[in-house]
Amino acid sequence: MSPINNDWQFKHALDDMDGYHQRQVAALFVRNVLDLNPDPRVLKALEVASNYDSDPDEMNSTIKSIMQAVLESHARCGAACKWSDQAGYYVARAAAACLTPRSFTLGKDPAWQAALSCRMARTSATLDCLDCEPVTESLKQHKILSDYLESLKGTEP
Amino acid sequence: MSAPSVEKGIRFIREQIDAPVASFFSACVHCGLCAEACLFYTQTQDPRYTPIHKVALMRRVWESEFTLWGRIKSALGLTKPITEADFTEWETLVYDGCSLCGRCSLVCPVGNDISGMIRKVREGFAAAGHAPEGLIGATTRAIEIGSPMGVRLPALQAQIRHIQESTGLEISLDRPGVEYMALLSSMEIMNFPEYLEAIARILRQAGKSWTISSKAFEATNSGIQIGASDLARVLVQRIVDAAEELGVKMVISPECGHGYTAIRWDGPNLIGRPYKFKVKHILELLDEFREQGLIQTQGLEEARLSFHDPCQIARKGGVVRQPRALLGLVAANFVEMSDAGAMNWCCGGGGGVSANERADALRLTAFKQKKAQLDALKVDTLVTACANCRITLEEGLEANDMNIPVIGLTEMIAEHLVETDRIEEKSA
Ligand code: SF4
Ligand code: SF4
Repeated sequence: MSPINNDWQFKHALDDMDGYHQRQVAALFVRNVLDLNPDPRVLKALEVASNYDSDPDEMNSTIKSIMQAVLESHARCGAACKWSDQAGYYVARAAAACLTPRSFTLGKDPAWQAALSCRMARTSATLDCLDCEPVTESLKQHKILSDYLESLKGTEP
Repeated sequence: MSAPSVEKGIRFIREQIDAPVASFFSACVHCGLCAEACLFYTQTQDPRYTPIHKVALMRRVWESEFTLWGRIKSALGLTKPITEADFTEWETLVYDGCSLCGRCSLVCPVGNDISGMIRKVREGFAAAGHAPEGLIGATTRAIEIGSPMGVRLPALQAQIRHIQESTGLEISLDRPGVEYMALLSSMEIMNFPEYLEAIARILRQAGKSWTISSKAFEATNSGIQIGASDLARVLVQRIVDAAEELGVKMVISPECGHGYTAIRWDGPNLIGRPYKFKVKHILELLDEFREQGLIQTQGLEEARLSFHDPCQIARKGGVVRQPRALLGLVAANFVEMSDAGAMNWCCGGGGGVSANERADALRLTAFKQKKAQLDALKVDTLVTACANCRITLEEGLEANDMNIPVIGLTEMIAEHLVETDRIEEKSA
């Protein structure tokens, strides 16, 4: 398969994946922005998302704790915005997207949701910073997905 | 501007006592119906949260200065003066214990607009220096930066870039001569970027031209929440100037309850003249598009879902039919809450309560009213149309271990649009 170079190819490649592979690749996107949120609940969510046969109880408790992390990190109405904190919120949202049932998200692809939140996280982290490099998270995600699809070759029928 | 003081606070309260307020005080028959309508009273059973009690300081000013008996008492030195301690005591009732939801005003048998009076009495509290820290900070940022959360233009531009890159949609800033100027709330910019994407998708399908003003993109008005009409006027004027400069026909108020009340209802009174453009809430506009056949949707949500009416939109704005008509397009299993529509119970976070950290515990207690409504319904999903309601509901649900997602109606409609592949158009 040729490498993914734009969001059209990216989204279509994600659309073609089943739920398990979507969760796995979503977790890879989030790992790439983990430096923006050190919350252990995020890491735990990624572990569970990447695991093929997670125990349903563990899955439920992990969803609950990552949703708590999302709620704890959002900007509260009227509070002064700190974009570096907001980056953490978007990482938590991305991690939650890896696990949230589709019925909770209007049927959106978890991996696409996670990708968008990771991009917002990276952008948020640069908003208070004048010297920061321009954000290239989408390009990194194209590469992550290309590599992931490449790694699947030969492992599946 | 002189420093806040008790004297200034009392003067500001006195200035708010016009003929309707005076008649409200004389008309009150002490029936207690307003108490039963207020979630802060019903969920605490604390008589101090009785709505009419929240304006007791205003009543004292009215009695001592506007009634014959009160003036005689004052002349004889029998009137108890209002003190700093009174302001301190009532501050938590007026700000923490009232979301300005307006439910009390609707039930009062003699027609007292108690919610409006609480809004007015806040003018005195702000002038006396007795407003919550969170609201003071939000108002200062709104005046200095243009957003109560301090969201600056580069942040909005970054979000626009994001949406354009990932979807291929066009979102313009400061485009003159277009039909619509969209406002956003800072909450949407910071927490829910999906709202901006949703309106871009819907307006594109409807074939409408629109823009966002770089000078006035913020819909919320913390001047109104804190009770400072002079500051509220400045914030409304910014939007009016931007809309008139761009020559738009309509300003679209976003999924923000009090932002809608501020620009649609309070705005013309604050600036002292009618607008040269119309103002509509996004749901009113979407429903017009639906009626005109300008939006096509496909598929139905199968989840059992209900709609939380934001107070400012449903009770104060009368936007009740429209969300239901829109849900009819996309939801197969819509169920109505008890007391839905104009009598819906508040989420507890309006009127600046959610911006006031001190009120957190009380807000979660008041949320039990919403919990009771939802427990009776057993829904899988809750839909609403206000970013502040959404966060308040999410926090309340989480605190009560209720696993129900909360979704914005505009986003839900956008997700069901029949549209060609957005990214394909741009990148293929
Ligand atoms: S406006 Fe709402 S919250 Fe405030 S006193 Fe009236 S019913 Fe209670
Ligand atoms: S409902 Fe009206 S008349 Fe009855 S106590 Fe409240 S303000 Fe007074």
